[in-house]
Amino acid sequence: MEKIVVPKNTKLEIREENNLDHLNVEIEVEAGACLVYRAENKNNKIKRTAKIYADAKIIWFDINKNKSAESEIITRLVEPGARAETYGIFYGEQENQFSISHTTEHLASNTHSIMETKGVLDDKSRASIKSLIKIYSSITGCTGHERTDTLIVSRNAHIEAVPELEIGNNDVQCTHAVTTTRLSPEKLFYLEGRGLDEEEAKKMLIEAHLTGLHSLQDHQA
Amino acid sequence: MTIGKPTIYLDRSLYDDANTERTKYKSKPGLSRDVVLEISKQKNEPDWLLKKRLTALELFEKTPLPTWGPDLSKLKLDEIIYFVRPDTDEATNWDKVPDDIKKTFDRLGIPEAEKTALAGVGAQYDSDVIYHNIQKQLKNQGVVFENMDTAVHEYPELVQKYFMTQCVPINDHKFVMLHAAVWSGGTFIYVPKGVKVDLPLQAYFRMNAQSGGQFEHTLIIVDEGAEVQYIEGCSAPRYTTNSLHAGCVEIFVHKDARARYYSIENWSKNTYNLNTKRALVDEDGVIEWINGNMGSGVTMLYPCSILRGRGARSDSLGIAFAGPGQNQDTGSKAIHCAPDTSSTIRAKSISAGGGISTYRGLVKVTKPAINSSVSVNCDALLIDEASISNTHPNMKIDTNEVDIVHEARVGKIGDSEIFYLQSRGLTEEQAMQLVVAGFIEPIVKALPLEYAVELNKLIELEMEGAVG
Repeated sequence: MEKIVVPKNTKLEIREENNLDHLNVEIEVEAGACLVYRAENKNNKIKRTAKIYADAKIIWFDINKNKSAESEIITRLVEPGARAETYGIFYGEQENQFSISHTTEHLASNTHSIMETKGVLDDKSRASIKSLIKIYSSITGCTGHERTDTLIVSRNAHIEAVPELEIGNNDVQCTHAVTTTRLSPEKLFYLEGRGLDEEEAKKMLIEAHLTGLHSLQDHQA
Repeated sequence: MTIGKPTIYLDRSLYDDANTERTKYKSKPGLSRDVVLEISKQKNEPDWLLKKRLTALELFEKTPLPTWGPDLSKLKLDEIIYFVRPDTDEATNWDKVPDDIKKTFDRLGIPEAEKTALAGVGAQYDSDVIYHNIQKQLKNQGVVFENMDTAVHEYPELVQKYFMTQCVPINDHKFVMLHAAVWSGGTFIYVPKGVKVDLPLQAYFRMNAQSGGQFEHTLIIVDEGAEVQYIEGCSAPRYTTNSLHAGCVEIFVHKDARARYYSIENWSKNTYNLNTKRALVDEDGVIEWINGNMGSGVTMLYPCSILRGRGARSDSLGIAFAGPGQNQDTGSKAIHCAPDTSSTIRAKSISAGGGISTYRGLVKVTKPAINSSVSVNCDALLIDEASISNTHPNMKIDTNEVDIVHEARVGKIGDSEIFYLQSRGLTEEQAMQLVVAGFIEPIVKALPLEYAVELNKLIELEMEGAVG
């Protein structure tokens, strides 16, 4: 078990690199602090939990590319003003399998969360994406938004998406959205009409699908 | 639109008051092989049906209660009375129905609606159908609208082919097994090729006996190019003991056919409503589900469409209202098994006074279902701080040539909306009701007029006292 504490009012960025099969990371972000945590998962099973205190913020980037992985992130917003942003990216090829689970628990009033995952599945890759926003009763003034967008490129790929909301009181604003789409034949036709071959056009559309989160990553760097 | 307290008064006793029980047979509480044998004997059923009942009973005894969803630990299956026959025979004329039973249906407005807006009516009281009638002209066109028990004897080939075989098999889940063992009454509809039934057919299910169970079976077969609309209404009086409703609806929509199924379930708040509804849809067929779940203490209901023919379509509209002490676990399922299929699911829920409403849905797109599209939309409205709303959608996609969208929103009624309406002269309660009426409008618009009015009134009734 690895434990990380981000002291009060500090700003920190962590890039996780590890070759372990199993890893458990526990994080505490103290009041007013900000942590950007980037993790690229490679053939391993990783669980990360974080407690976020008053007016502190955590931004997760959970990146899963070309290597199977089981990744779980649990964020607990324990004091008012805490904020969590969880961004997931997955790109599956061949027989990659991803199990991605993101949970944000609102344990204090006036806390806010965003969870967004974008991914592409090619060949025989498979992904199970679970996300949950949980707001307990008497925890008021919270907002929570979750969204998962998957682009399926191959007929043999498989996606299971379960975006869940558990809301225990009425003073909240929560949304969730899931989309699963293919490479649009119209867009491919358009790009091919502009001189790109099929492979190039496909590549461009795949990049476009992930571009929102990629640019967000660059922006946070 | 009528709003405001003075105009919304709806007497809940309409639904909650019970008649004195007059039965010609009532089984002992609890489920046993003897109860199943007795049901089958009294109905003079063929051997294949009895065998099916007994197999289902064996499966039921072996299968544990589901471990997901609402808590069912207070459902005392040993105390439920599984077979209650009212002391009357089935009639085709309301004058021949005993006075107290007729009065109940009169108060629910069924005979009146039959005269003005329906093509046929069935009425079930506890385990038996007590009234069934259909317009003569439809009968002449070959449309069958019968009590399910009668259909077993009069249309044996159709029943044996379709009854709990491919749509809802008897081993589907615990409460389907129970249903298959003790089912009684219900509706059988067959619409022949190319016949379009313009006015809806309706069945109303009333559970009167204390600790009673109602297990009606509805089987609808819409043959090629035919069309039908069917409305189901349900209610039960309020007792201190629990009742159980475990009905089953099977709908077969054949090539180019269309079926629209409405149900307004308004069981009393001590009822466990554990219902199974499923449609099998063939090429270019359309199934439309419109469900309103208002009553019951606990509801578990997820109408399912299996789109097995190319171009089949499913539309599902649902509204659930969870008031104090209620747990409405509802949703919709769409399983795409063929190319060019499409489904839309629109679910709305309202929670008030500590009620729990849960959307639990499944969208499954199998490998052959290329070029399919799915749109799921669920909105939840939380009226007060004690209310709970959960959303558990599940999407399993096995192919790439699809377009799937799911969206959900959970929130309360905005203070600014209420402020705006109050500044226009409405009271806070009227403003709340107006916003709720707007929230449920897409569902209400899809209902026939009388039901739209009933649904609005029911929600207004449930909303009473939700403010302040």
